[in-house]
Amino acid sequence: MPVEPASPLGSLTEALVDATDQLLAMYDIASLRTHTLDEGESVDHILAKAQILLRADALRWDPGSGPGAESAAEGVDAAPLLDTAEVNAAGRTVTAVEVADPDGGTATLTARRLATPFTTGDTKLLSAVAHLAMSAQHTARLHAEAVAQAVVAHEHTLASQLAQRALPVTQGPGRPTVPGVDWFARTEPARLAGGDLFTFKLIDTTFHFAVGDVSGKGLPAAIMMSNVINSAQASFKQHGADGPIAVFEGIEHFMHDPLSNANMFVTLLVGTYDTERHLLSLVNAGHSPVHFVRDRAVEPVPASHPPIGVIAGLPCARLDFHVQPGDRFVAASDGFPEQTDDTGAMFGDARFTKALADPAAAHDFGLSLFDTIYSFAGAVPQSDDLTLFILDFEATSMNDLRVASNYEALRAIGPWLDGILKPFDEITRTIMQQRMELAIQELATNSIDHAESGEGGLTLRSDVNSTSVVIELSDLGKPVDIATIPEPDFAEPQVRGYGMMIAEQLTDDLGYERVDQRNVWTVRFDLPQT
Amino acid sequence: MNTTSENDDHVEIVVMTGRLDAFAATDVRARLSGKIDAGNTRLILDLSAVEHIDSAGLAALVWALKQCRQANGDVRLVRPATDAANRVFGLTKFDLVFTMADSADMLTNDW
Repeated sequence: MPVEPASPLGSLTEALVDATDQLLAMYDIASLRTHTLDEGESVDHILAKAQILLRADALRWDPGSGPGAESAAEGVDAAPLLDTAEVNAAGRTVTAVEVADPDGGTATLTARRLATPFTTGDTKLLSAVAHLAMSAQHTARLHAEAVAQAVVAHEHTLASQLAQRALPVTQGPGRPTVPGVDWFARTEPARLAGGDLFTFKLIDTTFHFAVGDVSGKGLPAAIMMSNVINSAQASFKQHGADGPIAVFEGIEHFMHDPLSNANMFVTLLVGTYDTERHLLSLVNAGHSPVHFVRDRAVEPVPASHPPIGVIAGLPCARLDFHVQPGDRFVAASDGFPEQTDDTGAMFGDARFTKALADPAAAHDFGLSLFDTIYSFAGAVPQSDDLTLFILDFEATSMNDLRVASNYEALRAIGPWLDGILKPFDEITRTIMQQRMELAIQELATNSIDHAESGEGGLTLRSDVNSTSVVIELSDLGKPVDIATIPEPDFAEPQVRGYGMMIAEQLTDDLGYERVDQRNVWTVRFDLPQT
Repeated sequence: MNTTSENDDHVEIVVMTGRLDAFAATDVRARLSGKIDAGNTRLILDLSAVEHIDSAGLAALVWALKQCRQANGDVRLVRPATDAANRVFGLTKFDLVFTMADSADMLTNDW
């Protein structure tokens, strides 16, 4: 059918409409990019508007690389577009422009217009659209990458926090009260998470603990650290009654293969403190620094086994300490002595060891040691994880008194009894205090003189009920044979030997038994009847 | 344990304060030994201000008593003011061994 020639007015109107459409389309294209950051969506919008701008039948966007694959304006089947080589050759009804992808590839924008061939101006417009599409594509990809990185960073943070949560709480209701021990524990990873660890569990009268340092840093070390803590907790429960060697072997059984397979290891100190026998027992698998402090003299606790993850199944030795009031045990991580200042100098073992004799209580001392390191480091970042675990052995429980085996220390008994008797009225307090202090003082003096209770000291415990106060006095001295304690001879007054007689007269019941290498005296004082 | 002394006609009065226990006993015995060695074997130990006495503290007094009596002297005691500090004498019957009174004057009057 022949084509009717257009009238001049009609052609002008058509041209004006086209020009207006093109301007609006150009405006839309320019403003589109701010509306979405989705790669496919933003390119599709540009192509749709460009299709109007170019009065094209179809547009095809080949992003060249990346997840977008191919995009085409709505309603256009991409396959015929590329297969119209004959049409292209005949009348330039298909044209394509290439645009460089900042990621290294080349994107192609292809247009098809069957009604009229593309002009040079159309091709330039197509090129401008292609650059717009590439810009939108690149912005969307950068955004997607930023989102992905943020997700990874967020997950890293969450994983780090989770790993660090394997560390036990040291304050509040979850903090165990260990009779006769004032303790402090804290770890500060150099990054979000680290390989340093401590963990503990009070089972009956024994305080189990472990302090360690997994090789490496950051999240990988922290993941292994949380496994070591879980293994330690399981081993405390399963093997705790058999002592620290059994606990250590239990942890090694769980952890050797995972550590060894990951080319990692953990230096680990495993300890138990028997609060009744005042016996601190340690297995040290290559951990340092570990120190025992008595009378301000600081002694290193040597390693008795290689770190876990190096060689499995070696025999390990146990180190025992009979603790006295005032003794201190410290296990830290090498982050303390190895922290550097702004000149590159390390804090050093000598300075660290000297600091341990600080007479401040465990909590204050612990915090001050962290402050000391931070002050020393100044503007230098913390170079390694910092962990500090302190046991100060002393009498902290009102119902449990630990005194050294010397006469002066026995003067703590009177004030301790005052505390026990506080709930009673004044008359009862007066009557009970007179009897109890003298009787207990006599038994305690006997313990020093005859049982040679020595470095283990004396432990006194009280049990107050509605009818009586029972005091248990124990020591780690040699056995006492009650039958050999002579009765005083009143015909010939003697200088010593009245203690047991006095105690017997002042108490309502007095018993002695030898329990687990301890002398245990149990005395009952009945309350006055009202 | 603090002690102060005064001489009165060959009777020396030693005033004691604080606790007379195992910790103080060695020091008390050393001080009394010094007096006995110097020939003062008539001693009045004023225990009225002593708060606490146990068998080890008592032993120091008994030791001094034996030393003085062997030298024809004696150790006499002013009773502790509190029942708590007095108790050990009753329990050990040493209230029958020592001459005891409520004041030093009462002890010196018939000596």
